[in-house]
Amino acid sequence: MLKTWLQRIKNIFLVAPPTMDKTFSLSPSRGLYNVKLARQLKQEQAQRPVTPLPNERTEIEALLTETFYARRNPDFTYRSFDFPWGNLFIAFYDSLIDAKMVQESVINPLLNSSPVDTNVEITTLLGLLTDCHVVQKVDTVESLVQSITKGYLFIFLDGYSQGLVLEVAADKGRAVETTQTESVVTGPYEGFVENVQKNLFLLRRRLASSDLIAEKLPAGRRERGPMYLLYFKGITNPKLVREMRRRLKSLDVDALHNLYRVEQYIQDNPRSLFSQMTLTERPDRTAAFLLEGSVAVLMEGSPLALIAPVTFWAQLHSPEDSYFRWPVASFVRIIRVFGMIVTIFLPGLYVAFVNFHPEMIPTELLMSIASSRERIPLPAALSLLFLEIAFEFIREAAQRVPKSIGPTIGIVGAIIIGQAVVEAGVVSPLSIIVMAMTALAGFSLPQFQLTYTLRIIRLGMLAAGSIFGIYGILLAMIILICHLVRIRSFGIPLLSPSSPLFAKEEDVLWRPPPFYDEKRPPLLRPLNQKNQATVTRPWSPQTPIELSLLQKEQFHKRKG
Amino acid sequence: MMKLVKQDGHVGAIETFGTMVMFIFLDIMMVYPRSVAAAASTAAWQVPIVTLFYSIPFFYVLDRLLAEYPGKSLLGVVRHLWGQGIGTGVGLLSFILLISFVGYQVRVFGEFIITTILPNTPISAVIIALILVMCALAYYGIETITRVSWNVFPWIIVVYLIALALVIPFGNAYNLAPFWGNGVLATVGTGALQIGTYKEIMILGYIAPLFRQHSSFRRVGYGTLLFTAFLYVVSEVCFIMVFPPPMSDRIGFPLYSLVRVISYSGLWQRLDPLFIFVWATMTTVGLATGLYFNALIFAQASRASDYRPYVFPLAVLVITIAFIPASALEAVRHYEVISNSIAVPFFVLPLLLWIWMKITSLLRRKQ
Repeated sequence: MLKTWLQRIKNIFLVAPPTMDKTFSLSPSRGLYNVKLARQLKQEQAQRPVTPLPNERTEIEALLTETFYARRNPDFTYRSFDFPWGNLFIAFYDSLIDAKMVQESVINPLLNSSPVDTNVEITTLLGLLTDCHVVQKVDTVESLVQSITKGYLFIFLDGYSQGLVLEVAADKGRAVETTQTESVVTGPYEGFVENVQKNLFLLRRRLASSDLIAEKLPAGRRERGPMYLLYFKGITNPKLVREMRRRLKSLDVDALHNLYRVEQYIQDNPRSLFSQMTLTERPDRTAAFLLEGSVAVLMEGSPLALIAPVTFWAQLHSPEDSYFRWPVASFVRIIRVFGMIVTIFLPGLYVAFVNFHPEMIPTELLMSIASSRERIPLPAALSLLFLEIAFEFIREAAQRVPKSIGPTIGIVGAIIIGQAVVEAGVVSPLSIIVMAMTALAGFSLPQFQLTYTLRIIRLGMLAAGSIFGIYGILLAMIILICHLVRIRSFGIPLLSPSSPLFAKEEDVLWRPPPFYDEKRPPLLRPLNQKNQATVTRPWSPQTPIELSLLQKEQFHKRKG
Repeated sequence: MMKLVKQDGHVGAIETFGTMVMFIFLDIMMVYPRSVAAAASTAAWQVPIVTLFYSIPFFYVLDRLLAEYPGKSLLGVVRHLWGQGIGTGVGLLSFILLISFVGYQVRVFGEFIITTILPNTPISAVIIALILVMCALAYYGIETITRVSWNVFPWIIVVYLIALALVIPFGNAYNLAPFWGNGVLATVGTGALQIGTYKEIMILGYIAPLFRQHSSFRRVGYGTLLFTAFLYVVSEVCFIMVFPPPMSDRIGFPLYSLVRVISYSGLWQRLDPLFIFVWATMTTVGLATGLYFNALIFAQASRASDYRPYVFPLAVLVITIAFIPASALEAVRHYEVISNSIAVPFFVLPLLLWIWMKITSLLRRKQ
């Protein structure tokens, strides 16, 4: 322990090796880097031992009973059938497969259309099993084991060293429902579910284009389902796709339960408080990001899409911003930024003003604050800390308790915080107002993760304000900005386009009218920069007629 | 070439502009308005313009010099023209001058904070907290400093200009008369004596290779000079309007005192803590820039491959220098002298180099 700390202190005075060859950037001036890693992974995968499938049914049966501990695992089922044309062996997990569908889609077709020829090969069966859509051949023990664990049905014909795996899934999970954390008033209400195929369906239904690619990638060593890397060919920068693929393929872990976990593995600055990617449960939002040139990741068992790269400002955008009229959307974005400032700074500033700079408070308000704090024994900072902790307890409790007694928590919280603490003289009513404003402002932010992050930062600001007043807050603010400007999301500075300044990027705080927003975000360096025609309102009297003419000429020029 | 920063890449022109404005503009927050008003009377607002006319040729020389040696910093040019030994000597001299300047700035700022908003806090606590933040910024390099400054710069300038606009009704335009103050010649003379006003711009030469193109360096330099001059003039006009010259000599912290006069009904009164917020933010970033340049110049002078190991030791040195003056008054008095006197080497060095370059190239052509 001591050694670690000594090393950390030593590290402050030492210089880390250059990080240039490890940093990823979308800039065209920067080439590929560290390609070695991907190659190493491929080589490792290629070097893994491969055992060919035995051609005797008894051997396969013995192998599978041993591998899947069939005696102790009653849901592992295997059976053999004697057909006139050969001996068929099937194996599957009963819990993962619909036995009725096995009967209807596999056994019945084979029984009803049994070939007379006795020299049937495994490939002949492929033509008979028309009810099953995912049919793959397996010829190694490793791929066989992996297929069964993923929930496929394995069928094997005695005498052949090949088998087939078929998809006869038992349950497709819950139905598509409304979103839990990203509720909107306008716009679609569908949210992602745990089944990745349904999520793909939700996206493909919105983006009817053959250019939408969904690459299948493994998700951990003991993966249950795959991950899908989604991007638009012809729009998304190939460097970005390659980088995301590289990072996802580098994941050599037991299991990835959720995309929140994946995010922590692949983000640029994993030690930061701030999330450098967006996790959304909305297909419409994912589609919008994909069309802008971002990449998305879907994963089996995770009702979310992981989107990268994103900027800090994108985390303040709500999905319904694009559905609202542009002045309203711009207004609510400014309100959110104001909310963010309030939730970070208000408690700290309150303590700083009350303790250090009372002269800044107008006299009447100062008198009111003084009278309300007259019989409060706790200092302002401790009062706010008490309220903050109480609020955290309520929030945690409200999440954990059964839904039937959920409202009780609210009542208890309201009585404790709203009434009892004031009557007991623990905190002043103004402290409660400050804390309530802070909490409400925090919840005005659309990104759930950001609210948690800001809560921790708020505590830091409270501490800085109670030690050094406004001076402490500004020092803490500079440190916060210093941290933020150093964070990158897949090579893009998190605070861009404000810092570094990227003047071409318009959709930040002010949402431009949709008919002017004709370019994809240049920060993502998309291959195709325009997302709509220059003139989208040719019928409008405000559109000069020359524009339509020029656009037509351009079109003809392009067509040659 | 010597490695200047830990990562590759370049500094953004607009971000560096913001940083340099904040670095130069620190002076006006300290004692500049008072000392200029004392020297030039009612024409004090003309002094920054006069000084600008003196400073622009020097910056032009620096610009031309560095344009001749692309990819080289100012110290790299010294080494190229005058050799290693002189290069090291010039680097160390620049470093010593700059660190003493930054040290005194830290002290004056600390004194200001404890005088105005934290009277019960020991000055050491204020200075050490400031130094820690400066270290963090300087350690992460110019890219981080410029980006941080660009995040705060627009807001700071807006708040600052609004504060000055709110002051105007409390001043009197007649206080600006007589227009020429002590006379044209006296104003021109005072402008020459205040040559140190824009000296920090010459330090830009030490990071010249970090600009994408040399034109960015030029634009940042001239842009900074013009914008800073504008801020100086506006601030000085407001200051003289409110505190006419005989009175202005006795104002402790000029701009702070200026903002204290704002009082519009119950709500718009006592905006000084807000102004302190602006000033302290600007000062922290500006001083961090100073510490960074110190570490960088020292690294260049000692031909080190990285500046970062020097940041913490130099921060300790800055604290030590900050505590040399026995009192706040002594700190302010020394600061005024240091601020103007260190300008001479900073301005003269590029001029000498440029003359040397011209002479040698002329001789070479003759041969």
